Amino acid sequence: MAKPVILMIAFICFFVSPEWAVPGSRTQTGQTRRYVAGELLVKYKPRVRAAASEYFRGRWGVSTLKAYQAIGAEHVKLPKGMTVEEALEIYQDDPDVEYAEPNYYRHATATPDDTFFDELWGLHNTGQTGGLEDADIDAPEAWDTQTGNSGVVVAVLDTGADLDHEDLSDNIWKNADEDWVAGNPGYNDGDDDDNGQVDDYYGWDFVNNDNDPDDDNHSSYHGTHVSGTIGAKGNNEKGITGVNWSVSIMPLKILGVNGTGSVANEIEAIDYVIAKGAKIISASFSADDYSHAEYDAIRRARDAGGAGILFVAAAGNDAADNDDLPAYPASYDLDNIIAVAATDQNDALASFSNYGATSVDVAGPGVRIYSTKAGDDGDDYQYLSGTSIATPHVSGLAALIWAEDLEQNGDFTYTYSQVKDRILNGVDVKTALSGKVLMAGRINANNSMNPPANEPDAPSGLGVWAVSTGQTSVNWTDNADDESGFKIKRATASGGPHSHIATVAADGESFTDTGLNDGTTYYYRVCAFNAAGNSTDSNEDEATTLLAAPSGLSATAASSSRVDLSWTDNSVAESGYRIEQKTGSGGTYAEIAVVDADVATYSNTGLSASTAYYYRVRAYNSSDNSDYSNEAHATTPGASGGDDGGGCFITTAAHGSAMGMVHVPILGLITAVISILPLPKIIDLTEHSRVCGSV
Amino acid sequence: MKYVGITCWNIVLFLTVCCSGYTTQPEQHAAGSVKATDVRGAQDREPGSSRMETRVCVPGQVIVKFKEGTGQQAIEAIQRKLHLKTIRVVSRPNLYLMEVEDSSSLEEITKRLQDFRAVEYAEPNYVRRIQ
Repeated sequence: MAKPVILMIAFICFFVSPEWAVPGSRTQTGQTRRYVAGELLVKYKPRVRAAASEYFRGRWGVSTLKAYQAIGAEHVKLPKGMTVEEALEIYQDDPDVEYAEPNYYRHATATPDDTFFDELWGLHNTGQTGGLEDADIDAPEAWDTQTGNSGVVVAVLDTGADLDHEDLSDNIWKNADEDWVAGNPGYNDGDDDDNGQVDDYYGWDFVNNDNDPDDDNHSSYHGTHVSGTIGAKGNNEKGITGVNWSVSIMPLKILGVNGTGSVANEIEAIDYVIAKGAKIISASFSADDYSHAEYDAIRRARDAGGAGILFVAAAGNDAADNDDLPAYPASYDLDNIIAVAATDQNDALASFSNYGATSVDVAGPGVRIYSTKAGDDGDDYQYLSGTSIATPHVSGLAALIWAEDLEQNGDFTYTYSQVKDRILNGVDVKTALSGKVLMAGRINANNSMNPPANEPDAPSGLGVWAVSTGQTSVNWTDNADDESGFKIKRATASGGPHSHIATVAADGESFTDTGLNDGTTYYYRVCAFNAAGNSTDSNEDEATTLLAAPSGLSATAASSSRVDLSWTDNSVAESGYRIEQKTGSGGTYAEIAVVDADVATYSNTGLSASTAYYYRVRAYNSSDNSDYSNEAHATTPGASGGDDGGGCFITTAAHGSAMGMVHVPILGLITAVISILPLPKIIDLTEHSRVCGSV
Repeated sequence: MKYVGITCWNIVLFLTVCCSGYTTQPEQHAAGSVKATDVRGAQDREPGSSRMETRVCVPGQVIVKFKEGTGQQAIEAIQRKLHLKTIRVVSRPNLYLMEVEDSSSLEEITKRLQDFRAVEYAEPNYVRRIQ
């Protein structure tokens, strides 16, 4: 879209009338205005300019505040009662109008005065650390709308936090249900809120079972760092700023001095969060073991209080694929979980970060992130890296979204699901993250905080073709001009349910789906998305992948009248295998047998002695035949020695196969030895090995 | 069909061996706290952890979920039978953290617990670590 950007900036300089000149000024409902109420910027088409201007004044009662002859545009004031949206519809439908648009605000973005703000490339990347400009979450732009609210509680399940840190102390949660004496904790050794934890003024230490969730994780002061990224106090002329300038961090210590803790501790902390009503749990920990009890606890959080609790979890630091080897709790199939991978200052996936095309949702900045560090003086800071460190960027963004909800609506009205959608749909899609995280993107706070007015138009004309045994090609028409990307959805039955399996960048019109089963029908739909939401789905189309051919066919003459065949079953969708044979290399193939699915051997009997037999095999099912396997042949020995006396046969001619089958009937000892070998009597021999009775 | 899952089985095997190996009594800390395991330090400013280098569960501890409506007596009977002592109730209703008082392995105890109709599930007290 070719927006007249320079023109716009010129307009702003001239037009913003004094009563609206305060950046980010709020309406009576608390909503941030993005443009001046009751005004438009309009450009009429050149030949009709005067007449059109006259017409709109007469017909609709607009007045011209100022006309800019040089650029042929007018700054107009709308009549009382006409909204900017209504006026835009009228103007944009008129053929004499070249363009009409709101008189948008432009103002300096909110850069906080914190000492080390320039270190925070993840919030605002100007290339200051040698990285890519704008490889960040656009925090300053988001802060124009919202900088956080202490009414939003984020529970940090970690190693605790330095409660006295100069940049954290103001943003630590205070338990209003315990008795405070003139703003100070009463420490009355009483369980005032009757929750089983005595004097839990600032959270709880579940490791040592006391009321001081201080951070004793000396090797990294992990929880203190995570807490700083969520909500180190912003714009206070010291240290850093979190994603939230103000927020309430509830430190719940479940990980001990060397950074580990038990699921039992975690579950107790989750129940504590549910009882106290935090909106978000930030979980920068993981391990491999599935825990039913942990799953249940996170599900309880999801179902808590109607709106539910969002659970933001680190994907793990093993550079591994969570789709194959899950990391818990990030990998539970619960929709209140956001699983987070880490990116670096160039928007590339961090070398250590776990990933998962469907099991990890988004990425966030997680390499060399500067944040608060516990210490005696409460003014220490340090760099850390990890998916742990990316996670609080996402938790912090969730808190910002709920802060805006609280301020706009006077109460919390968003569900965990709405907040999750705002975060996921707000990503900046990056090619480097395609196939690594479900949304193929890194979070962007500005997109999530300031979504477009409408969701994009739906794509159409979806078509799907099978490319191979494991691949399909999906194509569609892009009808939107304001999409962030497209969500590819796949089902194994017509009509769904379709699962979101991948994300394609804006303007994309094709996707190659790989790693599919052979001979299987897949049903696809696509929708466009932006931070405002998803379009409706496209039409559905389907394709059936090709049936996988068997491979490694080998033929072995077992006697003068029998040849044994074996092959590799490569299909999961075959009804069986069709076996074809011809006599001599010049013969014609004819089907001699059909065997069941999953059968990979066949004995061809009743053959003639001293004859060369050729074979090929293919899989079949109700809708398809696969390609043929390789061709294999075997020559039956002469009949003189009899079926039991030959003792030495030339074996297979399997192309490309080094596996031969040996049958040595004359040597009972060897037969016995081979018989005790596991599974078929196959031993690794060079092609055409000749095994004669030389024992 | 193609045979898959060898890697997974190796891992299951590893975990089983790892968890079932801890049959000794844990050192008791306040409220049954975790005697935590080693995680590579962060002095190098790089994230730590490798999947195979840390202990995966708390020695001698098991999490047991009894079915709703299971009475205290039934729970105590099971505990006596398997020599289990309650450390604390983790979540209501009926989610217990218990300590194995004899030399049974966690694998054996969780298996025997699952055989009781009153038990919804039982699992080792798994460890989580910073990332």
